[in-house]
Amino acid sequence: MIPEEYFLLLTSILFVIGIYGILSRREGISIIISSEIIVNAAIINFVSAANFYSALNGISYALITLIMIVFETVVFIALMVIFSRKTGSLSISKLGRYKG
Amino acid sequence: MDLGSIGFLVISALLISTAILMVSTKNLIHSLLYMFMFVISVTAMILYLNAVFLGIAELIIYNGGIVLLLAIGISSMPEGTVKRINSKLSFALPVIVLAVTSFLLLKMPSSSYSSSLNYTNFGTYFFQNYAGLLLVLAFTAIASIFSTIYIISKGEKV
Repeated sequence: MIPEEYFLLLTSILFVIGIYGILSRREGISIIISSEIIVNAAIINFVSAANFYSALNGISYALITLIMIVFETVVFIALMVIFSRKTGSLSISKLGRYKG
Repeated sequence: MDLGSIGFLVISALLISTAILMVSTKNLIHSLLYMFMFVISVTAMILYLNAVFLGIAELIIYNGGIVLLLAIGISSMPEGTVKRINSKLSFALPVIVLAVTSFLLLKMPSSSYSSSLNYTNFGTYFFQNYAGLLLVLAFTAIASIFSTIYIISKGEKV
């Protein structure tokens, strides 16, 4: 049986890969794709905890997280499509022109 | 090494390799295809952990919804190339986070003045004895998030 620490180590590696993807990209779509890695790492964490401690709470939290990420992705993509059509660029560094 | 361990290693290797490919490719459509494979690997891991309903839900919602939505979004955006920011922060911060997390997970001290300190009660022990440090870390995290947003909004002028 795999110890729980190995699952936590795996999800921390995925989290770090997602952090690197967010920090090294300027495009909004690339940032949301990198954030999907982090969210999936959290989902695996919830499911592994539910499996090891025989509690169904983890599964329900993972399901709620899954549904929330759909809404977040939809809103973010809509914003990025509108923003990229206005600026003609994929880069989010042009958000600075909209500061108050 | 039994079949379960081999399965865990194979699925972990798939997860890590597809995640690295997702963040390292310059083409957004290739990144989306790697995300497709990544979600299948996540589903495999969830099924390995005996959560069948969640695995099927993950596959349907992610590959049937989010990946398709991202593909439609990318196709409706203007053409452009993916530019990578080669700053030391984007390399150093993930390495530091991974090193600290790995150390805490694998080398948790087994004997200390507080008996039976392990990763299950680490959070409770830390919160009871180092609450001030947690507050400082929280403020540091919030400040770094705001500074990151500021740097991104400044763009190339930083």
